[in-house]
Amino acid sequence: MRLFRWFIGRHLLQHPLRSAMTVLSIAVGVAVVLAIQLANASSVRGFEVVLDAMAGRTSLEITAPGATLDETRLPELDWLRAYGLVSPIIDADVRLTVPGDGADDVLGGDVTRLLGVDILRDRPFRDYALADANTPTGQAVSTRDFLDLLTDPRAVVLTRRFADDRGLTLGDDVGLLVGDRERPLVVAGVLDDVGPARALDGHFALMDIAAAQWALDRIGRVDRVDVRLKEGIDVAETEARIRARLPAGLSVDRPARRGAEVERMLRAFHFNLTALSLIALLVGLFLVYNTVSVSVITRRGEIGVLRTVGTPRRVILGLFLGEAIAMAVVGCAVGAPLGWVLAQAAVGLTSSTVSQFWVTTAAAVPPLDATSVGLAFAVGVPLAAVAAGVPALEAARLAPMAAVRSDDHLRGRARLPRRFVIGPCLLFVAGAGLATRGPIGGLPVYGLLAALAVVFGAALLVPAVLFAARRVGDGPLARWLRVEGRLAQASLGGAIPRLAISVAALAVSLAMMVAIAIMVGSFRQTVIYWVGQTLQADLFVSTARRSPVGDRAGLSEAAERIIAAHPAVAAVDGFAGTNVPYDDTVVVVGSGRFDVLLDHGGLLFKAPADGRAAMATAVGADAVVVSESFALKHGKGVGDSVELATPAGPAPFRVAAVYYDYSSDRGLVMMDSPTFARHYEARRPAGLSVYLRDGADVDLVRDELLAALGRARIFINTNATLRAEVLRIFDSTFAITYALEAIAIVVSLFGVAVTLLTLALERRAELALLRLVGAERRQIRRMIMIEAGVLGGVSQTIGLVVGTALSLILIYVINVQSFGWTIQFHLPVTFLVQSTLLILAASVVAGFYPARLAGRFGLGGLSVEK
Amino acid sequence: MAVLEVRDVSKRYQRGDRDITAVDGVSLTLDPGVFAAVVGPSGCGKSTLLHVAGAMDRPTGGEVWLEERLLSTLDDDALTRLRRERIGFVFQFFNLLPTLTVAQNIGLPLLLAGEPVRDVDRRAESWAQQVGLGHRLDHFPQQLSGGEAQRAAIARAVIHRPAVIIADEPTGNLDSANGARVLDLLRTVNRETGAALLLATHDASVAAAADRLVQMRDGHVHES
Repeated sequence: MRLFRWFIGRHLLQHPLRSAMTVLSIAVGVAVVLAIQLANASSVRGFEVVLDAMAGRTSLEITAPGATLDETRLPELDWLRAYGLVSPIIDADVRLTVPGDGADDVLGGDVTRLLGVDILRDRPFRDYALADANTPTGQAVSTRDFLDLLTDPRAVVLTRRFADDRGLTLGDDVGLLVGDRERPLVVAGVLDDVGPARALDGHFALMDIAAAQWALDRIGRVDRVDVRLKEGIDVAETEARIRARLPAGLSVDRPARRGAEVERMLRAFHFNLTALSLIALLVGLFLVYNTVSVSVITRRGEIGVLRTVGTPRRVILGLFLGEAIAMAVVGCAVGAPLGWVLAQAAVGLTSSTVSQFWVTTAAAVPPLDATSVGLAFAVGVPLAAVAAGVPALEAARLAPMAAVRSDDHLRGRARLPRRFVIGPCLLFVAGAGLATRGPIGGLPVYGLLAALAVVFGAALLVPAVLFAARRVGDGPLARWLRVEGRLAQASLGGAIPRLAISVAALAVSLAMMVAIAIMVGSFRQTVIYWVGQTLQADLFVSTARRSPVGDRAGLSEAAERIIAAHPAVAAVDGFAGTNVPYDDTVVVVGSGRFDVLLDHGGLLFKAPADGRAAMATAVGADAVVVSESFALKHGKGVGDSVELATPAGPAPFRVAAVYYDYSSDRGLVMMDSPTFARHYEARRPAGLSVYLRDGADVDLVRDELLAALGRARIFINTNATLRAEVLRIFDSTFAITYALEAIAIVVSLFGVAVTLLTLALERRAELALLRLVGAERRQIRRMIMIEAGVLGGVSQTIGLVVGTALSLILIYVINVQSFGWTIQFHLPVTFLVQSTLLILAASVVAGFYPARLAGRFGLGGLSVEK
Repeated sequence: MAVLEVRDVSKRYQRGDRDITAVDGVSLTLDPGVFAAVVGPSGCGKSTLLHVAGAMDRPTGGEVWLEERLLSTLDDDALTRLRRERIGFVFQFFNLLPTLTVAQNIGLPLLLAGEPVRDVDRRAESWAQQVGLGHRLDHFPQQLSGGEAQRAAIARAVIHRPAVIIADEPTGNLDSANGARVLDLLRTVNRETGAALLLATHDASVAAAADRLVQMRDGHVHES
C-alpha cells in the first residue's frame, strides 16, 4: 500500500490534468450507462407506479379482450362474490380543459386518467382522501359524504395538485373532451395525495360510474370488473378457478400482468438504448487503457529500478491495476450522481417516444439509491481493471535491465506486427458469421455481438491504418503544410503504438455516429417513401393532435356525416383500433374500409407480389392483412391463420397479405370494417382519411369543413402537414440516439486532447530541441494542431468505413430483429460530409490546449546536462 | 571585430530555498574562426555560460552581444531566429529528433527557416557526405552509433553557416577514437567556415587543441 502511495498516488497527483481527464471520461461513460438504465427503469416503473396506484387492493381483473363489458351481462358474474368483493370500473385516458387556460385554445387539454367507480363498492379497493370545503385535509370522509358529492352527473373530483396548479377551486367549471365533443363538468371535490391521486403527477380524476358512462358515451358498458379476494384465499388457485368458469370472451388476470406486458413491449427499445449507452463506456475504457499504457511506457525506467531492487512481478501488476481501479473508483463516485442528472434529460427525451408508441407513462427518475450507485461501481470498476490488464501485464513482464536501459521501446518499432492484421480479419469474419444468426427471445443478441466484433476489429486495425497513413501522408503533408506538416507527420509516425488507442477510441465513436446516421437516414428515407405511398388521402381528420393511448371516444357520427356530405369529398375511410392480447404481448387490431383503401389508399405490400388482389379477397371475409412487424415477430406469413381473442372467444383469421408499416413496432392486424364489426363491438373511428374529388382545393375544403363542424373539437391535417408531422415525430424519436452519440464523441475528443497533451509532455525534450535549433513558438503550435487534425482525419476515415459496415448490421439485422422493420439503405451524404468537416475542426480545437502548452515550453526541457 | 562578446555576465537561480550563482561577472570575447575551450570541474558554470552565450538562456546581469546585437533587447521570437540563423549547437547527448531521419535532422534549421525543401535536401545530403554519413541518410538516430549521431549533430549545427558554434562536452559520451574524430571535424568546420567555436570540456586532450583556454571555477573565469 505504501508503495502504491509512493509510486502511483504521487504520479497521479503529479499529472493532475491527465488523471482528471481520465477520471472524467470514466465518470461520463458510467454516467451515460446509469442514465439510460434509470431512464429505462423509470418509464416502466412510471407505468407500474400508476398501475399499482390505480389497482389499489385489486387482486384480479375481469376484462373482455379488445372490447368493453356489457353491463347487462354483469349479473352472469354474480358468483364472483363468493370469492370476495367486486367493483365495476370505467377507466379512460381523457383530456381535461380548463376555461381560460392556454390548453383550451389548442386541441389539446391535459391528458388525465379518469376512473368512474361505484363509490359504495369501490372504497375497499382504493384509497381516496377527499378534502372538500367542509373537511379538513387528512380527515376521513364518510362514504355517504362521498356519495352526496358524486350524485351530480357533472361532478368530477380532481387531485389537489392538479387543481392548485390550475387555480381551480370547488364549483369551478372544467371541460372533458370526448372525441370531438366537450362535456361540461364541475369540480366537486379535491383529493389529497393518497391512492390513485398520487399517480401521474396528479393527472387523475374521479367520477361516479354512471356519470362517467354518460360523459364518455359508454352508456351500458364498463371497462372491467375488479375483484378483491377474501383474506387468505390463494390467488393463483382462485384465478384458475375463475378462468374456468368465465363465459367465452372474458378473461381474468392480475393487474401486474399489464406491467409485464409493457415491459415486454419496451424491451427491444430499451435493449438498443442500453447497447448504445455502452459505447460511451467503451470509449471511456479505451481512455483508461491509454492512460495506464502511457503510465507504463513513460515509467519503464522506474519499473526497472523497482524490479532490480526485488519487487515481484505481481506487485508491479497490482500497482498498475490499482492505478486503473483508483481512477475508476473516483470516476464512478462522480459518475453516479452525474448519471442521475443525465437521466432527467434522458427521461425527457425518451418518455415522449414511449408515450407516442407504447404507453402513457409518468416517468420520473427514482432518487439515487444504493442500487444505482452500486451499479455504477459494478460496471465501472471491473471494466476499468480489465482495460488496464494488458498494459499492467506488459509492465509486470518487463525484465529489470531491459526496462532500465530502454526508456522507450516503442520508437524503434518500424514494422507492423502481423497480429494487427490477422486479428482484425478474424474478428470481421466472426462478425459476418454472427450477423447471419437469428434473434434470441426476440432480441438481436447475435446482431449486437456482430457489431461488437466489427467495433473491436476496427479498433485492432488502427495501428495498421496508422502505418499505412504514415507512408501515404509523408509527401503531401510536407508539401502542403511545409515544415510543420513534415514534423507533425514524423512525430505521429514515431508514436503509432501510443496513438493507436486514442485513435481507436475516437474512430469507434465516429463509426457509431456514422452507422447511426446512416441507419436513421435510411429509416427516414424509407419512412418518407412509405408515407408518400400510403398517405394518399387529401385530408386527415382527428380528434386531437395526439390522442392519448387508449382514447376510444372517437369521432362522432354527426361529424362524419358533415364531412362525407361535403360536395368535394369523394370517399371517407375511418380507422378504429383496439388492443388485443396476443402471444404474451399486446397487438393492435384495427379496422378500415378495405374497399376504400383499395380504390384510393396505397398500402405498400411486402407479400404476396400482388398485395392489392390479396387484400381484395379479405373484403368482408374473416381475413386480415398484417404489418411486417407482426409477421416477423409472430412468424406469420400469407396463408397462415392467426387466432385473435374476441369478445366471443378466440377466432381464426386468414392472413391475406403482409404490408409495410412504420407507425408502430407492436404489430398491426387490419381487418375490413364489416369483419371487425362482426367480431368486436362497434367503435367510432379515432380518425378519418378523406379523399377529395379531382381538382378540389384542399385548403378551401379544409376551411369549409372546419366551419361546418362549428364547435366540434376536430383537427384537420392536410396531406402535406401530416407528412411534416410524421417526420417531426420521427426526428424527436431519435433525439436520444443523437444525444448519446454526441456524448461518446465528446468523450473521445477528450481522449485525443489527453493523448496530444501526453505526447507533448513526453516530448518536452524534443520540443525544446526544436526550439533550440530555431523552431518558433507558432511553428510548434501549428505542428501540434496539424497532428490533432491528422488524428481526427484518420479517425473519421476509419469511422466512415467501419460505420458503413455497422450500419448494414443495424439495418439488416438489429432493426429487423428488434422492431420487424425493413429499411432501405440510403447514404446521407450531406450529413456525412458536414460531420467530417466538423470532426476535423473539433480535433484541431482539441489540439489547441496541448499546442498552447507545448508552445510555452522553454529550453529547460533539453537534457544537455543529463 | 568580435563575433561574440560576453560582458560581466552573471546567472543566478534558486534551487529549493538556496540561491545559487552559477556564473558570476564573466566577460569573454570571441573573434571569428577562434576555437575557445571552457574547462573546469563539474558544476563550475561551464554549461550555464554556454547557454547564456548561445542565446538559450537570459543572464540575470551583464550583457551578451552577438554580431553587434545586444541579446537582451531581442524578444523570444527574435532570439529563436537568431539561434536558427547565426548559432549552431552540439551537445554531449546527441540531441537528434528520434522521429526524423539523419538527412531530415541535418536539414532541420534550414527547413524551419522556410528554405525550399529541395535545397534543404541537397545541402543536408552534401553535409552528410562531408561528415561521413552519406550512406546513412535515411536512417533514424536510434540506428546510428554514438560517433555517427554526434557527426550528424555537427552537420546540423553548421548547415546554416552560423557565426558561432556552441559545443557542450561534444566528446563526453564517446570512446577516444570517436572523440578524436568528432574533435577533428569540429576543428575543420571551425576553420573552413570561419565560425567561432566555444566548447566546454573535461577532456585535457580536447582543451589542448583549442586556440584559447577559458578556466572556470565557482562561476568565475581565469583565462589563460
